[in-house]
Amino acid sequence: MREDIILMMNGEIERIPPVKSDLTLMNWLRNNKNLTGTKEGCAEGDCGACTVVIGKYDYTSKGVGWHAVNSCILFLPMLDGCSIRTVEGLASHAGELHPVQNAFVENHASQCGFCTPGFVMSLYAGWCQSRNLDNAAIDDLFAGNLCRCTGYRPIKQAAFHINNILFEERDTDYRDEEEKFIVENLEREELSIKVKHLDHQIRFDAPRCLQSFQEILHTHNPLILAGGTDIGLWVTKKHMELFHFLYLGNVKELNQFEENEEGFLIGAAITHEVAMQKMADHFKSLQELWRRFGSEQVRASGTVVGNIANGSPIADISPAFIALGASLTLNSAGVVRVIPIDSFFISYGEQDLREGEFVQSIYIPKLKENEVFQSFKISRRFDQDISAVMGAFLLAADNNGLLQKAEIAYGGMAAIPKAALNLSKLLIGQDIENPPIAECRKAIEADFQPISDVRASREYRYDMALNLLVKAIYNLAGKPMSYLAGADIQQVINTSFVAEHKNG
Amino acid sequence: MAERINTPEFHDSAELHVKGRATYVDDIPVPSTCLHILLGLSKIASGEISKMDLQGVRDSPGIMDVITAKDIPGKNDSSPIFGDDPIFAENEVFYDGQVIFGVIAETLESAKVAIKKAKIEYLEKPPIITLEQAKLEKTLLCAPKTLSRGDFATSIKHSNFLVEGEISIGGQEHFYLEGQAALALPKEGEDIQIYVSSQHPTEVQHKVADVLGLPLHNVTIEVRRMGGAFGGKESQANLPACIVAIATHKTGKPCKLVYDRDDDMRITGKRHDFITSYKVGFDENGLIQALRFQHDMRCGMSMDLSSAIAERALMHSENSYHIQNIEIVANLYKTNTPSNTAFRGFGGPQGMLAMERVIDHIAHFLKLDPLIIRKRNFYADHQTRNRQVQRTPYGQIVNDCIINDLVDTLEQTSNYKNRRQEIENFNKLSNNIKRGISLTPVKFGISFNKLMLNQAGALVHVYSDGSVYLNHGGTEMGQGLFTKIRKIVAETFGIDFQKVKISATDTNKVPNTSATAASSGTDLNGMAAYFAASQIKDRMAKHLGDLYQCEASDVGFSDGKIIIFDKVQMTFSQAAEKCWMGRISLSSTGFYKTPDIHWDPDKRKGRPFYYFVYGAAVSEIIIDTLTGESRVVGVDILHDVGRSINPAIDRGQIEGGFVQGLGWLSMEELVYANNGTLMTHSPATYKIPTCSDVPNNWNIAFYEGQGNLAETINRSKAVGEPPFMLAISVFFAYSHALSCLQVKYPNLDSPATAERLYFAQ
Repeated sequence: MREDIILMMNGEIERIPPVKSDLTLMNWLRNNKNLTGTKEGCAEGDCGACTVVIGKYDYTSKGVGWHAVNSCILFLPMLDGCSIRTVEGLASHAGELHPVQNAFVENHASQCGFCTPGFVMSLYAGWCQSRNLDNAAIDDLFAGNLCRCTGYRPIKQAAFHINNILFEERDTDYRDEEEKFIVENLEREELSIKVKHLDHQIRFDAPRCLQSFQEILHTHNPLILAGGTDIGLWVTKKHMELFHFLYLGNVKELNQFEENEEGFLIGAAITHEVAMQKMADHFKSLQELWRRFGSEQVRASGTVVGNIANGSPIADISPAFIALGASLTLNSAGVVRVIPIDSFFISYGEQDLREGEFVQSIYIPKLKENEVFQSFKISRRFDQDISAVMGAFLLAADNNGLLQKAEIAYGGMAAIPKAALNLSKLLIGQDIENPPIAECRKAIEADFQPISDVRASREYRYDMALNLLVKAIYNLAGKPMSYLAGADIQQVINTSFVAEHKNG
Repeated sequence: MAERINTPEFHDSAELHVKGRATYVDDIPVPSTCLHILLGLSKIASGEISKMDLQGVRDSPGIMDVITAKDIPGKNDSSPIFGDDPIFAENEVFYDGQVIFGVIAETLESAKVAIKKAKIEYLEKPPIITLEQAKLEKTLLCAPKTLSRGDFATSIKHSNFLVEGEISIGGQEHFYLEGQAALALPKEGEDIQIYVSSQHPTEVQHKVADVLGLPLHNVTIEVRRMGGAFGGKESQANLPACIVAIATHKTGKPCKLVYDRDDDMRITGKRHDFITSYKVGFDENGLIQALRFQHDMRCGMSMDLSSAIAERALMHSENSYHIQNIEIVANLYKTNTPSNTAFRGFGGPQGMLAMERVIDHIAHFLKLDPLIIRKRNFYADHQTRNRQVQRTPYGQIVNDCIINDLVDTLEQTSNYKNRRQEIENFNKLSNNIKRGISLTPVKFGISFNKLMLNQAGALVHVYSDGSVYLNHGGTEMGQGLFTKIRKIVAETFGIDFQKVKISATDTNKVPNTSATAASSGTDLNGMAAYFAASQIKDRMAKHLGDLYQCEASDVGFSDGKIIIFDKVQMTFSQAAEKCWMGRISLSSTGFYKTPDIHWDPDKRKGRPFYYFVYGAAVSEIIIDTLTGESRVVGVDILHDVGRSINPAIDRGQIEGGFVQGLGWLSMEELVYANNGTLMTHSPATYKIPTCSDVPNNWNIAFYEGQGNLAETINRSKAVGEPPFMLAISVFFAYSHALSCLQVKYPNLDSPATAERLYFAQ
């Protein structure tokens, strides 16, 4: 077992003696490395001031992926074997600014400068990923970075500026060396850190195979850690003391993503980013929902399964999986149980997870002929926000326009993501040209008793649940209802106008 | 006077920003003995502390000390004026989030463990949280403030038409990206040095001196830059500075306090929320005959700057309109919530939003385009022939008005009329999607209402190598003040921008300064720096004139060279050395006070403002009526910056101010629970605009006029606050879209969240 964390830091290999496993990457950078360019703006992954770029091995593509991540909610040992680049590591040794830095200076894209390092690193991630940065892509790239001074216009300009630099003209000097380090690291011994802190032993285990993962899980009582986008906040916000992490990010078997004729299998270590990319073609509506799930930084760290397993009430994607009829594979020391996802969520904070059991994967069946999947999210802000109401609709109509299938689930309508069973039952056999709106409303009221909170009132939630359904059914009936999220506004204006003419 | 500056220099710190090398308080390298402070906050909004047992905290590992009100050698107060903001609560708590004690620890981590061991018991009282509760209980902080002109009571009776209404205007969290932060270092004897993220170093110096019972000369405050402030670090930075001072005084060690985001949002005050009711009489053309406003303001647990904010609200309630019979009342209510404070616009935005609401309501009543009503009521432009003297309700003659010309120009360039027609046609025929457009004006008065504050100082040294060191009383919070002033000084000496080094604001270098606030930073400090540099330049010119046997006026400073009789004689550096050799003083202070302003605070009459800033914006929005979701489609802005010192920076202020205003009016919503707990205390629940909320189609132009008619530096105009209010156009574009859907007036409240837009149909 290896006790030292080995990572690459701005191009230099670092060997770090055991640390307390809840030490965040940000605090390590700021306090131990005196790299204070990385800023704390919120300590919860919502503002992006702490953004750094990491290179990390991706088992699905068998190569290195480059990601912007929030260093404030990542624990340092999770970065073992990764390469980290901070804002201080971008300029050349001679002090010459990197093109992304130059773009910010020349476009007057910094005012107070506090958010700037985070934005610079988000743009650097886009640079590393060789992304085509059009207007929509820039909005995505920066959705996880807040700026209070500039109004974003000059920042977007800086990104446009970078987009004009051809991919082949972009220097990869840094990355070649980093990739070599990351790949070589796969051969290293597993990391297992034990440190004594006051009266406790603090542990961090990062096994590489399922067997060793399960052994640790059963011998001790560790907290399973995946992307840390939720558990990170237990430490930074709730100030919880957590003594033993079992990190699954390096477990090869859990880094599995499979696609076949029938569906998709997503292993527990697969991030939202990877799953989103791989499922984009098949599920267009899911793609848009996913795009608004957290931010680039959150999707690059957070895992699909972790989001479900923690039973987070902010599991914005879970209603979609319920409507799609997904199932979970639960594993306890090799004993496997497969359950439909909607039975997994029991009540707030309570999941159907037995002692010693963990969620190994989720399976999402593909759409069958005739089936149309739609999902809509309503939130206070379009990007990087948690839904007030989220509706997911898997609908299929026969040749006569009668609904054969209506699998519907909502988020924000109950303490858990939940299927609308009465509503689904009511809709079967209904004419999509003439849905029974009043009855639907009653069915929704029978299915859900939402509360009023900071995101929305109970009344608004009821109305939205119904109106999103109306949208879904009208769309199915070929009378498109415009949707503003992620849409080209001019196109919305054109189609809204035309739609009404067509429908008389 | 330097009147030719107009160059888009990059931000003074831009390179440091992008390299992560710009230092904020939390980045300052500290000695290893530095201790960290975490604050214990009240968990209830109102009541008495019946029992406080902090022994467990004290005994926790890594804890050096715990401080409470008892540890304050001097006054337990961090308030800017009124003496009503205890640093640590003593017997009573007045809001959820109020500071009760501080834990001083070796590491923040141990402080976080320790703080949970505090045992505090309260005798709770029913708190007063909402404005409705405050009105019912009549918890006024002071006598209502009024401003009136003409005879409202009579003229309202004789008005042709009458409209009454009410608008609820939400508050706003500053959400500067850098939380409040302070670091204290003990110095020799009783001296103490404090680094703080504050817009008002002098006030911090005063408060720390009072808290420690020291004369001002023992206390030094330094501010290099802030990671955003927006008014939120004008008075609110006093508290963390006082706490680190107390901790350092007690422990003898350096102490640092940085609020984390949740603590920051719970502790600090915000923009005041208002409920404004109005009654307006007007004729069939929409000319306003009589108008009355009542602004009910939620001030929070103490006065803070609410009194001055209320006055600015009164003085901006007529916006750009000449209203003969007007009566405005502001009621300042005390509530068990954080003490609301300065925020970009300082009451102006609320007053102006209320006025634009009145216009919108009148237009709806008369079934006219609101722009017609606006134009009918504008003050006359200063170039209008045979213009009558027009005064504001507070008696100031409006002698620099350009709003008619500015709005006419914008109306043309934005193609407002055709777009409005096209949108109304669209709305008749579209499905769930509706659109709206609005043009609103801004007139904003520049100068502090309090006369004394309109002064500034600067200090300039020229070293013998020709490099220049500049210091002034203003603070840099991102607005580009340092960049502009550096340029002013460079221009004065005719040298390159890079030759001037601008240094951290420091109470030891320039004393007795005013807050960098009220958009006045460049007007005041820029002029002071110009005076300081000019004095040195005059001395140099005289000396060089003596050497070259010519008049001082024959000595020219240009492009880093000294030119006498059209001939380059030497470089500026050589000239500096020559003057040094010649025993010429190359250091000078500069001082400026705004001329011509006067104010009678009792009568609320006078000329409080040196000049006005004007601007206008056209905004177009789109709403999904099924959900209430909306987007801003396009924005056209025409704004008056006078003769810009730095057009890139001025544009940045317009863009940033507009988006901040957009957030205030659309998605940013503060929610307090019934018990007074702030539910929106982090970016997870409090949403400021992101990149995709900004219009893609966004045109900004500077008004091409004669520059500032008042004699400001470079004839420029202040730019910090006014653009914030351009976003009011977005709010009334919503109102327009909603008006197309229905006969009744939408009565939209702010912020116009999706839910509000949905239910306003």
